[in-house]
Amino acid sequence: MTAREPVGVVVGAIVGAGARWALGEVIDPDAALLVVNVVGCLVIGWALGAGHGAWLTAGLCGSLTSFSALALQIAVLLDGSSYGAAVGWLGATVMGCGFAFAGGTHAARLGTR
Amino acid sequence: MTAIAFVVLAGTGALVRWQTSARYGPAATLAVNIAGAFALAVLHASGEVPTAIAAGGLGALTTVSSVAGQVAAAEARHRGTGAAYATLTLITGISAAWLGLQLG
Repeated sequence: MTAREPVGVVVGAIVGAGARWALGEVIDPDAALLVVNVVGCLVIGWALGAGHGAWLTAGLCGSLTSFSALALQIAVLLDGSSYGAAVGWLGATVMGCGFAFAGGTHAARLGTR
Repeated sequence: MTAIAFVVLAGTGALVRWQTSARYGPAATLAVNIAGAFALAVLHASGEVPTAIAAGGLGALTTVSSVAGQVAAAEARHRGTGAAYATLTLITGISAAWLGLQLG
């Protein structure tokens, strides 16, 4: 670990968390959470495949996406007996993140060929 | 003040997650995700959660993208383990949040 690595992770985290918060302020918070989680998985798929550093993977992507907000979103829906919405948001997140990560990995493979 | 707290907590959350997962692997990511989900739900049930804590600290401490990365890595090593890790993360994390809502 170089001395610059933690600084990069912190800067990436501030940008990622800031972007997640900002998007939640301008569009519907549930939709915003889905967007940042899917985009974060797309970018980390590409970043891991292309060999980018921790500032982008653990820092920016790690903080752009949020599991605590996702778990709370689903738990609140379940607690309010909104089972359909819970399954819908969770399903959209899992499928969106899976396809986005695979897409990012594929893009990195094309880029390094 | 809020902006400073947001920056400090987001940076700290990410550093903790990064260092623990670098040392202890996917188990550490699972642990911070469960802990973050539980803490956020307890605070949410108790009242208005400050943005610096909810979106900043706990948002950055927990992650979905690293879970995706670990799922892919596990799946490449041994078929089925990635799916099991993803399922474990979702079930324990959402259960922790639900429990937090009841306790908060």
